[in-house]
Amino acid sequence: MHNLQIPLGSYHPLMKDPEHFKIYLQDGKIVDTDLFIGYNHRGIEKLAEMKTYDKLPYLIERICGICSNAHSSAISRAVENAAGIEPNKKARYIRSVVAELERIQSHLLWFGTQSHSLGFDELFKDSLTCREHPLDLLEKISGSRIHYGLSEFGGTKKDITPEKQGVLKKELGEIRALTEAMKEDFSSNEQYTHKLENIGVLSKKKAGEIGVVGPVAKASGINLDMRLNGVNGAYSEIDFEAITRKKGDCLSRTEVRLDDIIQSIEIIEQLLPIPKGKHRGKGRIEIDEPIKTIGRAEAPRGENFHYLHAGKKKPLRLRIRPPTYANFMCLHEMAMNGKIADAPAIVISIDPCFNCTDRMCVIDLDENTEKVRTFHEIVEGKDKDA
Amino acid sequence: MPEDTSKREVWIYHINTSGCNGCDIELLASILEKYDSRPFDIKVANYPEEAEVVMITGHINWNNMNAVKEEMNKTPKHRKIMALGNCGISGGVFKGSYNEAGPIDKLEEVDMYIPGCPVKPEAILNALSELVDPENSFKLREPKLSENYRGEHNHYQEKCIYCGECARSCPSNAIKVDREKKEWAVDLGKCLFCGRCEEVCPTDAISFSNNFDMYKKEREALWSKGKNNESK
Repeated sequence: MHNLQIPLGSYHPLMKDPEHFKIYLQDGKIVDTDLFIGYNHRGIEKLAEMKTYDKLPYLIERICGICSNAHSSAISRAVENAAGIEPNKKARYIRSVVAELERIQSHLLWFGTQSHSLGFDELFKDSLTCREHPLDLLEKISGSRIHYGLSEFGGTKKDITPEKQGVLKKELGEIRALTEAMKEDFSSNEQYTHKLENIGVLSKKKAGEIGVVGPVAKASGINLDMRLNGVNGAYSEIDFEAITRKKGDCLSRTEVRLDDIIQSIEIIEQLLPIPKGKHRGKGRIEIDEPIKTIGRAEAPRGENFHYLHAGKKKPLRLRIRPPTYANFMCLHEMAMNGKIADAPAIVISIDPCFNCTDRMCVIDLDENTEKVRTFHEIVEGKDKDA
Repeated sequence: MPEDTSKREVWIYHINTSGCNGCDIELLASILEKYDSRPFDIKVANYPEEAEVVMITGHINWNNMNAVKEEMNKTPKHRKIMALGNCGISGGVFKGSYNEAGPIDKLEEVDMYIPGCPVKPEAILNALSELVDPENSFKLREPKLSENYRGEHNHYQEKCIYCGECARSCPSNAIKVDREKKEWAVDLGKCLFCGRCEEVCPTDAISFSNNFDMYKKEREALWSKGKNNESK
């Protein structure tokens, strides 16, 4: 039996990321974990059934404010598969460039939040300041910093003109210099790396059994990257390999993401110059017969999977499996037998994105009769009986 | 360097109620040095009792409705409420979902609405300065916006044929067109700034301006007839 429960992540559903982890302790050791989701549920899958195909990407994009392009390009692929059209060459290049810029900003944000939660605010500031560069580039390309609205079936809405490609190249050099300085700061900071080394180890075997995706899988030595499957974008036309580590601890996950930033910069440099031609596709689309298709994209956090049962003008059913949903299951494995002090590092190391994850669940908080102590109570010393 | 004590401190308390995280991250970005040319210091409050300005992002769902109410009861009476982004103002693209219990102005009186999807960090700071210190209202210097930037709509009356194509294509049903009275209006508190209306317009009567400072104190004032509605 456990003798203390600690709610972690959000001790109150309203703080920062509205999600609830419960950790059971015995003599300072984690013996069990529990996860409650659903505070962020918006009913997007049902809403999608009410939208015609031309309005659909704008809704799906707003699943998440960090990986919005990954969602909208996955749904575009699903609808394109259903209608039997292929995106043109230029559009595939533009989609890949935007996807990589998005990956850069997402990993920088993640590195910032990890540094902040482990108490290294200087790196948090550096990382977020560096993140303004990719955001400015995205605004230059698409017209918005976060929801780009580029998706169209068979193409993209905005072009990356040769002048913009010049700016892109210049800015990328700056991002690279800043990231490399940050990486140096990180690896030379022993206090920081000590907090991550050998913490939350996920073996290759376990990772395969649970079915983790993205950087978490890559850090455990699984060579899994949707970009290499050639399902989306122009990645089949360039040369790169997925970055992997063998150890599977929090430190390797950090290293994989930091190396991913540098790799993304290299991928964009390989994609430039973008081939000439037509970039526009179709906004309105009709599908002759109901058909079941899938669309996939490599989001910053891993594989993003959209299942679409397409009707004539609207989807009949849409099911979205975001990467964090696949990765949540490994938290239990990572945290078991660890210390409570390591729990925040472990939760952050999978880069959880709760907005993506809250697809479908029912929670009855009224029937939850277990006693949960809040942060306030612990701070004020009310947990004397524990 | 001693700290600049002449700056006024503003304590903000942020509540995330099932939005997409976009506005939350833009709020985080607004504390960066890049935007640091304001006459006040932003401090993030950890307890609702400390809140001077409560910032709400996202439309409220049935799961966190009671928690929002509880939290609001703990805040002091003189606190002001800001609704950030279109989910916070009207539910935005999620309007009509089965899990929609908000938006916040069903529960509490809102002092400032900031439209945008997501809001720009500069807009948050300008609105905050207008709200806490209306006498010395302060504006950040104009940011360098790209030519593609989608802000408030321009509507050219002489070009518009009032066909209603924009209203039909709008993903969040933000546009109203009256063909008989020849009236066109957009609800900035609902618009996603996605650019769909500009694209489908057969006569190019709609375009986007650079205006991102669209904050208003009343919900009704967010209905816009387009910025340059005379002629270009």
